[in-house]
Amino acid sequence: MRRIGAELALCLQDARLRWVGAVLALLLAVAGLGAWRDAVRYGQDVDAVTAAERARWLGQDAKNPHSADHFGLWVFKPSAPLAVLDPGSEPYTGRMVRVEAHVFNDAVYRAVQEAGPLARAGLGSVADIVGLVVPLGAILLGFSAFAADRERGTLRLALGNGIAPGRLFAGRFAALLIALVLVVGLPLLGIGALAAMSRDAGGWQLWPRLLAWIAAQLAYAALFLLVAMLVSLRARTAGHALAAALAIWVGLCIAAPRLATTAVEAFVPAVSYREVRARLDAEMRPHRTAEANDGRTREILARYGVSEADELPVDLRGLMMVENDDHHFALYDREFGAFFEGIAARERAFAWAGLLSPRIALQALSQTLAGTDFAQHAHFVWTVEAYRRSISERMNTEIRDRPQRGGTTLVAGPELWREIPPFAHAPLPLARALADAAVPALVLALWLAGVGGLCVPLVRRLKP
Amino acid sequence: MGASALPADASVLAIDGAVKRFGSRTALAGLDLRLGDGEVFALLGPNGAGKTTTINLILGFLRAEAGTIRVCGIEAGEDPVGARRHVAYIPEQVALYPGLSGVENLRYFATLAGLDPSKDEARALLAEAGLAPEAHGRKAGAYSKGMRQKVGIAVALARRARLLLLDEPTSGLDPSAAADFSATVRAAAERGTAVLMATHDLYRVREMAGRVGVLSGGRIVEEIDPTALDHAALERLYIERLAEVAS
Repeated sequence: MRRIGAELALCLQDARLRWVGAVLALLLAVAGLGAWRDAVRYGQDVDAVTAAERARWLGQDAKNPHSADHFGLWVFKPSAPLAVLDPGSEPYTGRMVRVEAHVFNDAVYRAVQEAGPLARAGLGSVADIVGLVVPLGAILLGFSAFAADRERGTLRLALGNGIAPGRLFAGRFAALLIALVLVVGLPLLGIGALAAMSRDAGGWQLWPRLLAWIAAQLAYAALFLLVAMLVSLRARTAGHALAAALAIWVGLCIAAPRLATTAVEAFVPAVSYREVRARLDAEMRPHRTAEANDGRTREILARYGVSEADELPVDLRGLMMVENDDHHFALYDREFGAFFEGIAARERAFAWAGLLSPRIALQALSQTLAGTDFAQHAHFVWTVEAYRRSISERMNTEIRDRPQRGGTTLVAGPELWREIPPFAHAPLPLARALADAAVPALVLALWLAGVGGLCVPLVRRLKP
Repeated sequence: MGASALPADASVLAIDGAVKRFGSRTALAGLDLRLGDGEVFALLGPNGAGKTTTINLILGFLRAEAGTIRVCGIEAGEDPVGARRHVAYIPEQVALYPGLSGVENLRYFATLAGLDPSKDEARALLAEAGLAPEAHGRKAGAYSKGMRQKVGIAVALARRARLLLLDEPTSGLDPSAAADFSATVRAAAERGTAVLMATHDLYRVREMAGRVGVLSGGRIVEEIDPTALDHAALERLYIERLAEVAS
């Protein structure tokens, strides 16, 4: 501990730490506070519009339940509280879905439509800054760890006077890591705590999520600190160490992610959304014709052993809607299930592609822990679909079980509308997120172990 | 019995047949050397004779192609960190952290070496090394070479190591500082520290060393008892030996 204290005191003497810390803290604070302000505003909008939609649903006129099903309503996706830190897929996936009879609607209105210049530059979020800029900060702190001492001559004095290279490395790494925790971890904790305290975090298990998320970011920062120190162990001068570390940063943070994305898209083909819609359309069109409808009517009458609809113990139209929807539900489950599974397969492959770039591993890990990954979006989409189906089923059974004779039409009122509960969405639990995070966490750990392992022989052979 | 006849396991430093080449150039061609507790040995030789190479081999910064180098019985090539635990070292150019004071530099290096000197202990060590008290708290960036050298001496003294390695220790020191340094080295030797110094400074050699080895062509060509010669005789002998080897 005394050694770490001595290294930390030396580190604090260096103006670099103050500059790097100030720049990182400022960038993180600007991105984090901006995202927090947007999130609070969005949360208020969601609350207001959700209340208005609920009032509109409950206040609709008396009408046939199927008309009410078509009357529909909008439901909104609650933003994950930690989207303030890592918006993940949220800006690129829709935020609101129209719930109505028969149709599995897309989520519409993407936050990216309002993206400012900073976001378009790829530096709009705290996670972007951690992914790209924090490694630079770690490199700026770590590149001189041994090379500058070698250049200055202090390494010769230190090693020649019995200072064990392993302890020197460990003390220096620990001190620089503490410095990184101060300049990166604390701002992240501050922004996360602000989000946790000011936003509805029901069901998110927010504090363990936040701490795990910050630990992942710090592990990533520590990796680049190790990279910089690894280079510094060999470089003759601090200038050479900085140049080499920056070249590695370009490779790992900019070039490799592009390569990995292209490779994943090439090797893990996924069904396109257009193909899914085309297939659904192709399967539903013959089901919707008058001939098909007549055929199903005849089949129902035969099933009940009657020749007229008025002789049925149930309402024919209601029963046909129930059975039509069951047919559609099965189609949606099959086609959208395959579509979302294709995307999930790509996400899993992308997590393994983190072996090419730790930035990719962090991206997958960070989004999963923040609750902004595609799995959360898919979960929301299916929750909305389940809600839509529950409304359709309630309206259809109301019609089916109250048969109208002589061509009259059932009219329902507010009592039925009130039976439909407000839309409620519970996020995927933390346990699921941790399970999904296992692969990217393992990949990031492999990176740390690999770079740390490369340091070991260089530390043993450390020369002034 | 001369110290050079000490058995390897009784020596603080035992070098046997050390060979070191840099490409086609042979820096050391079978160097033998023994050093016991409290002995001061001066390696005399021109530039490129292999003095600094010898020190780098002892510190484990270089590895010999042949022969062995043992510090307190530990093979420096195999276990350099273990060997260096018994060594204190003052390089020719002592480099310090310019933003730290003399006291802070000393405490930093001592702490990393596993010691924990207080500020008062650090000041006492700096005073023992000859650094004026008013300079103790000044930033090392403003120190002269001599002042930096004295902090280096204090770092070495703090370790109370069994072997003190000095590489051109008086180079650049003013006469008063060099005299102080000689006294410090003699005091260390009297406490039982073995001292190996690489130098050109014949005057200080006579003042400090009990044995002198003339290093040329990668080996010790003659070992001299400096107390038996005056300064002029020592200088004459040194030049003659170098001329013989060159011819």
